[in-house]
Amino acid sequence: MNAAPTTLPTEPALTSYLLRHADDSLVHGQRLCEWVARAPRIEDDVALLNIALDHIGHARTLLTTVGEREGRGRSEDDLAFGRSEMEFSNARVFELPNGDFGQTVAKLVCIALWETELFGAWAASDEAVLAEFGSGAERECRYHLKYATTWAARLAGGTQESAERLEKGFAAVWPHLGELLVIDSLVTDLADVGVIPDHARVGAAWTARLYAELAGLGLALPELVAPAGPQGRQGNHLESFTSLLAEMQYLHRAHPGATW
Amino acid sequence: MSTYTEPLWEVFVRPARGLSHMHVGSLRASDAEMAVLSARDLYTRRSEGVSIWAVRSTDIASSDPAERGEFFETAATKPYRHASHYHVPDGLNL
Repeated sequence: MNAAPTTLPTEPALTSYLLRHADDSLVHGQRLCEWVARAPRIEDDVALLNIALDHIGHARTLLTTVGEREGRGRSEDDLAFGRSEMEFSNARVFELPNGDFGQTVAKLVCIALWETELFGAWAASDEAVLAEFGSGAERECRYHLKYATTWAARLAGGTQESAERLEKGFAAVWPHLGELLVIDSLVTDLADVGVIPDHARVGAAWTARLYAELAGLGLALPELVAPAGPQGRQGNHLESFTSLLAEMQYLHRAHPGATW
Repeated sequence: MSTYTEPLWEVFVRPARGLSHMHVGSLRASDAEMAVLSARDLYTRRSEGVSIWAVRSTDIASSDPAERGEFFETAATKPYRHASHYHVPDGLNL
């Protein structure tokens, strides 16, 4: 890859923007991997891990692109395994512990809806990097959404316990969703020059679909608001993020450059 | 696990347009929609197919394995049922 991308006027902002979403995918995938051999049945073990692997795939593509664009010679592995906690810019909802199956389904509904809207908007972008990634990723996330909403409907309409667990799951995820509505100067600057989609519109489309989905499940939760103060995007993560990173990175740190 | 609360489904996948659906395995699911979703995740994750059928296992009528003799093995002694016993006339190009 030549050094041309780094001379674009939108740099380094676009690379930072891509890194945010690379981190979202990586951390979401890593967290979902904790379901290996623990799902309620083998059918969902495979389904959840398919979703996890799709996200690891998204992260690999985006991290590789980030490494090429920043021009510091960092590979996808360097970025995934060589950064410390505060250098990760994923939103907190992606690192949120899985909880029980009900909470994981709730989290998947919220995230898959967000990703379908965001990546769909990327797909319509004039920026080639976003358009190419967005069209492929949006199609995958539409399946994740179908899986999550199909399960959510069954939990909501199943037993009293399944309905309660789903409701508690949404309640646990809810406080961490507002961060996705934060529009900081990085996003505004890139959107103003038309490089990335308007996040206010993405956010509005996402919340409208999310509230409609909840209404269909017979649930009602407070309107989402963007929180003030530093969150995951600024490297301010939940306490549980430390152990997630430790598990993800320890092999690479213990045996740098190891191959098999 | 000794008891299942969810019914068993048989999964059929069509590998490509123009081919028939083929039986690939079975799974547990609460209903038809979940069965097709699970079948997608279990049996088509390496591009195995373009279409999925899921059928409740109890809805399939099958031959009795104990009757295999009278059902199938009698055909083995009737080679004249095969088209290979027709003679192709001389001069016919196939």
